[in-house]
Amino acid sequence: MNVDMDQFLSAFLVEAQEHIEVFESTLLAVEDDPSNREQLNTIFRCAHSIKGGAATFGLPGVAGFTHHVETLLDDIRAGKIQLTTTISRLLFQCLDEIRLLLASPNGAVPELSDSAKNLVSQLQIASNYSSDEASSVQLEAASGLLEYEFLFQPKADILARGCDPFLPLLELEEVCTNYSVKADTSRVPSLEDFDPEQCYLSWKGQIATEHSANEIREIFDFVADTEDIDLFPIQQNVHTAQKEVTGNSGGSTNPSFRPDAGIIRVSSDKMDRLVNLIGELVINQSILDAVVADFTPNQMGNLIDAVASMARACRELQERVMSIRLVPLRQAFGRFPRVVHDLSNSLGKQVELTMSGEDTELDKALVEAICDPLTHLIRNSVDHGLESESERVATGKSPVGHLHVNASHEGGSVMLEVTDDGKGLDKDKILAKAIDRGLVQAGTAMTDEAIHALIFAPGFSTADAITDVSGRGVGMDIVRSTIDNLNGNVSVYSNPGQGTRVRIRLPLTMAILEGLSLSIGEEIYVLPLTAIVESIQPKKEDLVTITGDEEVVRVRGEVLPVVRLHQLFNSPSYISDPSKGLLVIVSDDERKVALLVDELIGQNQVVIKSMEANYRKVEGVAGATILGDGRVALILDVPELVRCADAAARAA
Amino acid sequence: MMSSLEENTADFSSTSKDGQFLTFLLAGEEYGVDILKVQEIKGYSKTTRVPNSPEDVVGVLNLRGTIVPIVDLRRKFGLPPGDYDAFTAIVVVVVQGRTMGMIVDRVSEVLSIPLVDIQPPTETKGGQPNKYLQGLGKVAEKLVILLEVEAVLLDIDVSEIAA
Amino acid sequence: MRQMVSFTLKGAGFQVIEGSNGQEALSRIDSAPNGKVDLIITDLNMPVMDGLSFIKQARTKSSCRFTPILMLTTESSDARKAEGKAAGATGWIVKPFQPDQLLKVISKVLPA
Repeated sequence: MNVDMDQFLSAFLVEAQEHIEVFESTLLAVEDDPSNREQLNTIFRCAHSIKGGAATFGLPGVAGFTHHVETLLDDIRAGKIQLTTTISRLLFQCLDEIRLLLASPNGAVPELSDSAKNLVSQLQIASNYSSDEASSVQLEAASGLLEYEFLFQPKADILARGCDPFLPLLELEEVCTNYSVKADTSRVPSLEDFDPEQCYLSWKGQIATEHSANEIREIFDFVADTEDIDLFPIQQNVHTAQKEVTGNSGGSTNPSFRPDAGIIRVSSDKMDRLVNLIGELVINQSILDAVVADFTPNQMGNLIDAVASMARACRELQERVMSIRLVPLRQAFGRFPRVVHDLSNSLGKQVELTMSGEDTELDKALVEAICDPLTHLIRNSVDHGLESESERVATGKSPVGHLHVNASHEGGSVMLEVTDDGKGLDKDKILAKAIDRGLVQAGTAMTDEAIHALIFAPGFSTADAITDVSGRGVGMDIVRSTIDNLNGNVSVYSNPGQGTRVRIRLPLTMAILEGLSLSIGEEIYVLPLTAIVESIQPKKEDLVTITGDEEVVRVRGEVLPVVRLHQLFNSPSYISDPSKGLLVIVSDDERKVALLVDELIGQNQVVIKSMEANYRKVEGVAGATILGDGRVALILDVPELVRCADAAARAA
Repeated sequence: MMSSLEENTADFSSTSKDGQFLTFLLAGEEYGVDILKVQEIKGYSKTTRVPNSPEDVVGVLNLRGTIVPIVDLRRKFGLPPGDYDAFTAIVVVVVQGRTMGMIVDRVSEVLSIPLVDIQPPTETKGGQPNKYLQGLGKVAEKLVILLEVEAVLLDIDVSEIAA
Repeated sequence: MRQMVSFTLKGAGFQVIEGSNGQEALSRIDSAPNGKVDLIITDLNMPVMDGLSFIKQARTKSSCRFTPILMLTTESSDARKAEGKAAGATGWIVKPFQPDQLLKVISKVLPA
């Protein structure tokens, strides 16, 4: 049988990734509740699945290493070893090692790396293996003969499931070097009570085997629930039958691969619906062909119908395809508990992390891209935002710092928030540092928001001491630029003494944008709908020109700078008097500006096309799109326009 | 895809004795570009202006879903502006992986010019040869100005890259 | 999946009767030689009649009361296994699996 295993490898890597995540989150939960057997079982199963899959798909390194983890987990599960902090830390390290092995070619060779060997010896010490074994690490290490006493007591009704209790016993005999078993007939009733469809027997015996307790349990998998089979180790034999494992890794000394190599899992019914839609499109296409083939003006109605149903199918197809790209944020959120756990431990702070909205869906590419910025924000909150325990107590707060991560839908975008109840941002310190770094001129009047926004400026860091956690002065500016690149924006709110909240707004997807098209002269531009606050027709008396040529408009008590797009873009327009045109108020979540346009055309979904692919980045333009008539319209870059307006105002 | 095309070009000019050129008219003069760089020729259609672009980039066009910048060669070469009419054409070329269009007065023909009949660019008054020029081709009694498309569209000096 | 299972089994010398869903399988079993089979392998996710209902139905037939039934599942969770056992499944194979894994599992439920 020739089955190409490579095609399964990538699927396995995705699966392994999921197991690792479950492993990690469950291990974190178990720390709080070490007696929870179900959770210990879950962790064990994760390790077991990783091992099994890795062995199947030609990753003996991963399999070999995970085997040792599994052994320890089995001991913990059996209650032989207590899950102490030391051991859970060791398990976390092992988890990282498995990740590493999966992502590197090392996973495909049976020889373990030094770091893995080191962990294996720690694992073995933890499992009370003799130390000389620890030095000889092989795929099937610790392969000494183990002796067990076993008791197999199947449930009476197993025959009704088609089970044959003798088969596992025969299999057991095969894998054991020593095997003696006795059937216990004490439960067999007298003949009149005897039901031939019930199993009254149980078996008791002693075995000696090279296989682990788990492997023995596996033999009885079908016929016995966990409680139906007992295995008691009699003694641990130190005669290690050292089996030399040769370096043949099944021919797949694989090139480097990444877990989750751009794979999206799609449920089969989603897939079926897509196939149906394509079918509909094909039918529509042939209807259109037929109508066009012998077209007469009185068939106009048919043509319109055909085009309309084509349009409906297209729209639905588009929505369905986009929904495939949407994945829950859980994937990104999953790693935060670990980050907070490790970091708070190393800083000696007590931090409680809560999360909500993990099921909010977002384009897969965005979920991946936002992971690092969010992690950075969380590290920042734990490191700088939350005070030390003594500081918190001194200010009358609970000693446990609280950190909350939330995701939610808001209109056509997704809102992410990282909130802590720490000391908040120190305005004076930020301003002083910004002046010191030359980011702001001394004496500049600034709003609180503007000062808070300075933490995103390149080369800014407020940490007193540079720790290895954060505070290298890089980071927040990278967070900002990453989010900008995703067509999102970020803002920060803070109350001294009460905490800080960072809000990130992201579009649902990067490929399609809900836009408002508008005209300036003969050109059509598209504004992202999420950036628009409102549009107004200003009254003459609300428009003021200050300091020569800076125009502002008063909107319900707010004074906003007016940006004449035609001037900024140096293009002819029909309207140059703002009171005759329209002002579209846009916001980058921090500041608002009013854009002067000729008129609004309408709202529509547009497909974002790159300008950079064949040309270059154009200031104030986020990309281009193709209109219904085939013409190109430019998509405006609101954060950049707001920044331009700001720069212009400062220059004035 | 792209790289193989460029390789072919290189092979072509080093091994073959003839060069194939697409020729076109611009303000009465005949110009030629390496045919292998040409992707297609299309009629003129109105472009979308791109703010803050060089004067010769008149805008962008939709070419089957990709956004392609369009350069007006008259403007590029400082020639007097001409009217866009039914003969006006856009020559779409691929240079260094980018698809770009050039507006020309009208497309004439595809010419085979023996390499020996191509005169390398002469030095101008400034002492530097014109970087846009690949050379001058002699065909019968005509002179065809052969353009170095990369240099024209990306404003780079091809000879410097080669050196 | 069905093709792979069938191919593997035929390769191992089994006679294979196939059905594309639970309903079809039940009627095919009846029309099998002697009206019974030695082993049933079923997927859980099937149209018309899903795997668990099929197993329950099969167990009510006198010809299938003690026939080993293996279920193919993508989920290795204990909950899924318990569900299968409750329905009357003898054992399970977690997908994806290799052909020899399938044969090994069969040897666990079918006397040689």
